[in-house]
Amino acid sequence: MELRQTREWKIFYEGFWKNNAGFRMMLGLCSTLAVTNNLVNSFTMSLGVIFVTCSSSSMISILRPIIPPRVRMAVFMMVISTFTIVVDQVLKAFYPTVSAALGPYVGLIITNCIVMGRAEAFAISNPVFPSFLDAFGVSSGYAFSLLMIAAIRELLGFGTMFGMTVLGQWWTPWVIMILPPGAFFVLGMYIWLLRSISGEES
Amino acid sequence: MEFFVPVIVLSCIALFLGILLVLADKFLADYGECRLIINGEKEFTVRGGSSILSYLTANKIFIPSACGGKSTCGLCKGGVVSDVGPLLPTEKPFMTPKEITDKVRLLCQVKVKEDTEIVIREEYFLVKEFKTVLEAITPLTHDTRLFRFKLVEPAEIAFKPGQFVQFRIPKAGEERAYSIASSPNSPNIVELVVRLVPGGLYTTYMFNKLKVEDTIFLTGPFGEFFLREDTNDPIICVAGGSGSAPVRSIITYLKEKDSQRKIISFYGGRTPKDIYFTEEYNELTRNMKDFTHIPAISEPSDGDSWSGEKGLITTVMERYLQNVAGHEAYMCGPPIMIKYAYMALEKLGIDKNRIYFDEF
Amino acid sequence: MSGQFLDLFIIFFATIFINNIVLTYFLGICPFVAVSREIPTALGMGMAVIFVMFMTMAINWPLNQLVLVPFGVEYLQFLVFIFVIATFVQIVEIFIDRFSPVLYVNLGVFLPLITVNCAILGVSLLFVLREYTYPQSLAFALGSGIGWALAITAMAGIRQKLRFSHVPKGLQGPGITMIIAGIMALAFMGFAGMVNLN
Repeated sequence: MELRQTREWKIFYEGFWKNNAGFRMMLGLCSTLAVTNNLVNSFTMSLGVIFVTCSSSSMISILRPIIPPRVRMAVFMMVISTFTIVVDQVLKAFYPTVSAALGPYVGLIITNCIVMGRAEAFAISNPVFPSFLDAFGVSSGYAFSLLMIAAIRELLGFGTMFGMTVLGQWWTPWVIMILPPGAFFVLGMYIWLLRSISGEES
Repeated sequence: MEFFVPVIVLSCIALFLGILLVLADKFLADYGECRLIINGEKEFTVRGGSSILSYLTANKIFIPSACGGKSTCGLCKGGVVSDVGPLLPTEKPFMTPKEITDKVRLLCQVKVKEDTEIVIREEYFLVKEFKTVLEAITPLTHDTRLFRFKLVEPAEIAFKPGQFVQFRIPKAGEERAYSIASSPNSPNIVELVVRLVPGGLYTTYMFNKLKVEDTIFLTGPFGEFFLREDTNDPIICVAGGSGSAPVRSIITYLKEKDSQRKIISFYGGRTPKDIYFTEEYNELTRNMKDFTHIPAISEPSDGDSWSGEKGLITTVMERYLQNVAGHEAYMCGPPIMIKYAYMALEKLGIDKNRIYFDEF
Repeated sequence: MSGQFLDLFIIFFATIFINNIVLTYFLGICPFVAVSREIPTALGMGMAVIFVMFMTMAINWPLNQLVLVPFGVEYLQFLVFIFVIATFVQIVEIFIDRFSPVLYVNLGVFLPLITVNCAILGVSLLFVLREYTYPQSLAFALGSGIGWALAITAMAGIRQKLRFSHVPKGLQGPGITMIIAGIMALAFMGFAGMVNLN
């Protein structure tokens, strides 16, 4: 069967593009706005979110038979928090500068609606591999949106990409891009762009 | 040793919080004993704090409900006479302005905290829960099957042809409604026509997990869609998809009663593979006074050997129906089919009040 | 003593206006976008947030200081804080349901949403990073809550007025909310020179 037609591809595609978390579903906005003023931070956050989402969705899917329905939210939070702690500790140990730059936002992966959302909507009622794919699709779609926003903000705000100078001395940085208003504006513009292209009603 | 410290600390904190929660639930959420009065006739004493629907179900009074109290189906409506506070945001989308003035509420959303008086339809008192056993599964097409359930306890069900039952998967919180496809003259069996919905929770269960001799609980009968017997006027039946079920119940019932009423029945499918009950309807045509069954397919292709009608069911209807102003009509199928068929029947002069339908 | 009080007041004031939790720190954006259509709902949500934020801070600080730190298990902060928040919200829900059905109807819908409001967890994480004392943390929490409520109510006011304007189709809904938030953030930046919070 062609790759495009498989159920697996569909799960991934829907998570990544059709229901893109950052631009279409409006999830995980806090992190999106906070860390996207440079690409290094965005990249780190992306990896963190992908890791937490995939591992917690997989774990919850494995634990499906023994999770009592009434306390499932609490169980989700426990699993997600634990993996977030792992990410946080790894960052603190090996990449302290990035960890300091990201600040509380690593911990806030827990409240990132994407992670909890995939657990509740998919992982709790599906087998492990599809849950993993769904988590991977949604979180990498989110990562994609982070990187797209950060690319603009860092390029126009600092003249660099990933810390390396791209635009030379002639470029007067648009400081607003690094500041909070810039974050809101760039996200707003992307939403406008995507909705106009896909011709969607809000 | 160091390994255990975080585990112990965490467990203690979790335990403490858990205890707090249990205490709060026990003392704050305890509403004491309350009376639930229904239609001024029945009265139950309950421990307050839960929804009206849960008390009704616990006391074997069954009202329609498909979503298990999540306020997504809007079926569990009832009038609440006592003052139970303003309409909740979860109820608003399902209420018409008239219902709001009539104090109709979603009984899965309203909680009993003190003596509460409600009004529900009288018919619901007749609804029972039946323990049944699956007797046979008959494939009708590639995606539709006929399930026959034998009633165990109670052993007989009384219903009007066209009504539906609620089917509950063991261990699921939700229920689904399926029209009864068998005639009320066989009160110890219930037949259901089920079409597989890809990814659907219930149909997937019924097609893959349910086996002959499994025990299933059905609740019923429900429904405002049933055969009217206060007249002998001719009947038009229109069905699509698994809407064939209530129509089959109506027609079989009329045949068993030896009814002289003229019946013309239309069934719409997409391809010849989707048409079923053909043998059965052919026999009914031979044995009844004036019964015509017209199946039609809407997506004919050159390869198939279909000699029957082609086109959308509403177009086919118009070819056969002339002078039908005094007829009754019973329709069951997808909403879009109902919508167009309704318009077609109105155009043919049939009284709006005599067009009965049940849409999915 | 008055120096300490001034210090608290500065934190309180700065958090509402200068380092506004939504417009500067991007915390609590999801409900900010979702619940800011009408002023009454926005106010209701804002009140609920202030209450929960303050109370959970009041619990989390001593919990961190007296239990997590002595045992050397600070890394459990994420887990413990979110547990406290979830339990607290649940208990508050039970409490309100019992004693004020009216309040429950108006506020009750928001309470489950508050558990995942990153602002609530955010302030608990921030006080750890900034090493605030107990009074400072409380001032911070109160200020954050009020700042959040202020931002969401202002946004609701603007969006209500916007209903009569012509918004381009692609921007309707979240798009225009982002643009408005950006403009609000710009406006709040004007407060920046008022207090030097280092």
